Amino acid sequence: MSDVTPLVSAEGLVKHFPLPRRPFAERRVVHAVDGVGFTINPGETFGLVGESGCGKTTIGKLLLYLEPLTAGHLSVAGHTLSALPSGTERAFRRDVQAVFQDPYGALNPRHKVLDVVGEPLTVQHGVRGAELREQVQELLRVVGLPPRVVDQYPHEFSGGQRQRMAIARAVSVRPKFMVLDEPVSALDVSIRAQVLNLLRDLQDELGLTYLFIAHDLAVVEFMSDRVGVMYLGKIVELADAAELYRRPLHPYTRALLRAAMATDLPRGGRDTVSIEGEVPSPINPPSGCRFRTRCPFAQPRCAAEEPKLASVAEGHAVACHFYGEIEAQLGSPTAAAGVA
Amino acid sequence: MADAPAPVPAPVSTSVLDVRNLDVRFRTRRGPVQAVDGVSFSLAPGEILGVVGESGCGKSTLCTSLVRLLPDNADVTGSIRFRGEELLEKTPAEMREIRGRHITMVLQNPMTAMDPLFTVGNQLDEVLRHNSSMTAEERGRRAMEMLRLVHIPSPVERLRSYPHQMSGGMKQRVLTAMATALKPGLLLADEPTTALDVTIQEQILRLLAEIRATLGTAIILVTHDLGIVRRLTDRVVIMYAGRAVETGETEAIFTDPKHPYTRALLASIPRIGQTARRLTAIEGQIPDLANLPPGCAFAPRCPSAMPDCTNAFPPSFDTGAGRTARCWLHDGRAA
Repeated sequence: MSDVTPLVSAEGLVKHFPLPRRPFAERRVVHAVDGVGFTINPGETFGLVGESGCGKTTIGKLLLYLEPLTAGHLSVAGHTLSALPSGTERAFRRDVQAVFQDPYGALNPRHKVLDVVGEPLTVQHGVRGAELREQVQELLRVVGLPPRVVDQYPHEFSGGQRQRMAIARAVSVRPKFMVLDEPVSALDVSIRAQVLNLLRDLQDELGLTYLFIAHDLAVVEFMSDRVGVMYLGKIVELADAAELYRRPLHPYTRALLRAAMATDLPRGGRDTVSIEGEVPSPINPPSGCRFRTRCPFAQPRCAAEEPKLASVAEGHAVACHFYGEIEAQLGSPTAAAGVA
Repeated sequence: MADAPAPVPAPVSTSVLDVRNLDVRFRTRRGPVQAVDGVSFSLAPGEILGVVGESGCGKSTLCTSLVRLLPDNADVTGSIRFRGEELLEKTPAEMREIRGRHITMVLQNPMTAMDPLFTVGNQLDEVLRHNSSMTAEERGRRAMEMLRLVHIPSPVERLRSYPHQMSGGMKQRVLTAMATALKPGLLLADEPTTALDVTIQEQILRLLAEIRATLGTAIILVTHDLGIVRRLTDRVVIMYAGRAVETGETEAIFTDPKHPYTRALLASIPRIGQTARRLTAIEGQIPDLANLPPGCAFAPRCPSAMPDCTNAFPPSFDTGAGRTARCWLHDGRAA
């Protein structure tokens, strides 16, 4: 794995959003992302999972160059994003595309499907007229829509069909890397599986590399090769997808798993970690470990010293001072999962 | 709970709620739309019933029709008996009384369910003032008691705070407190955790289970999330295109689904620890209620569809152990 050159490499990413200045008060900032690093190899899917406000969407935006970095170093598909030279943005958009959560807001309601899906081809390659029509029809076929819909408008379609259009548009310019930010969470349960299968098929056929952002652990596991669990602007655990679910080490990962595994497990579930309280404000994050205010295992050391994301096994890193003690106490909660 | 049910000449039943052949038809400009079609179920005291389905399956309409809060263009027929009394025969004033006190609701969006201009204390007090004869002092005590029951930290300060000072999870706790302050017989929870983060969702679900245990309130939980259903409910009604396609005990349905829709839905959800490269998707789209396919509405997407399925919609077949399925596969006469 280490001899491959990563397609995406992120080091010490920081993104702070300053709040409006108040008189006689120090300027406050929202610590959206606070020192996050990871790499994504070509053809791989890297999953980011966490609750609202954990910074997963901000990371997606940083990788899309929709937000400038506060600090850190970022290289995406050969483009260095801390200093994207003017004039290279169009080339960047050809290599990097995105699909977002809301298929209703993503498609211009005044444009026909032909223009909605074909716009990147026109902008990037100057494709127009009959050739554009032909290529858009081919793209629609690829994502499982009938080619005749090119002359219809987005409002005539359901959420799942619109999301297929958004995917067709994103892959039209043959990107190398795609950011998928909660691409199925707005869809109905029976439609989600269709779209997830489509994304995997396209990845195989076109050799795509994905950053897959979601709050649903089961969906992230299905899609991803490796997964980063985020909490309040930090990655608290990073591992191969199968390993993370077999052997979650961070108490927060255990808590998320408890919530997510409910579909698989009968009433009551397993006794893993259940957490009280709510996510603290990212304006004033807790000292030391940011999870300590909700962690049932927190010790004085957790407030004093911030745990580093440290490797504990091949490809598995965790940021917790006491993961060993916790594992000794609780074991691996998912060892028997999937039996139900 | 103190007042005895009025002496109505109804069959004595042990259930809190008995719904029989409930139909809800909306008169729209595009013609009539049948949002709920022949749904029957009953609910025992302290039982939690899940009503599950995807968007447009009629689950929220069903829930709203129980308390008669549907708009004027809705025609509701059938029977809804609450503690033996027929709700469809009640006057609007009688319904208001029942809604405030005996059947209460917790809805999806806690952000808009409270009045931003009044404190939490005001709003809790209002519920008690309008629906009970408690004195101001009793109401104050009860409000504190309820906030403690729903695990609100520092309840004294909370009574003085405004909704915007609280997080979504906290508001949902307060709303649950309001809904259960008068120990209702039935709580309708329509997607109560959908707007919340997973760890907060987990907390609210635990709270609902506690409420049932301590107050003996029966709960109807409307949701699209099968994980929540399995976690919390005793029995479940699976809805598709306005019909209850499968009903029965939750564990039985999850381990041995009888209706092809239930089976396909369960198979399409990714599971932790699953290693398959592809999911078993249900092909096709959810049907439009105004334009349903003939016969069984699921037939066009059903892997087990037979030629007969498009002729007539199947009645409810008994599949044993108190379970029903509306699918021709379970027609005893056929085999």
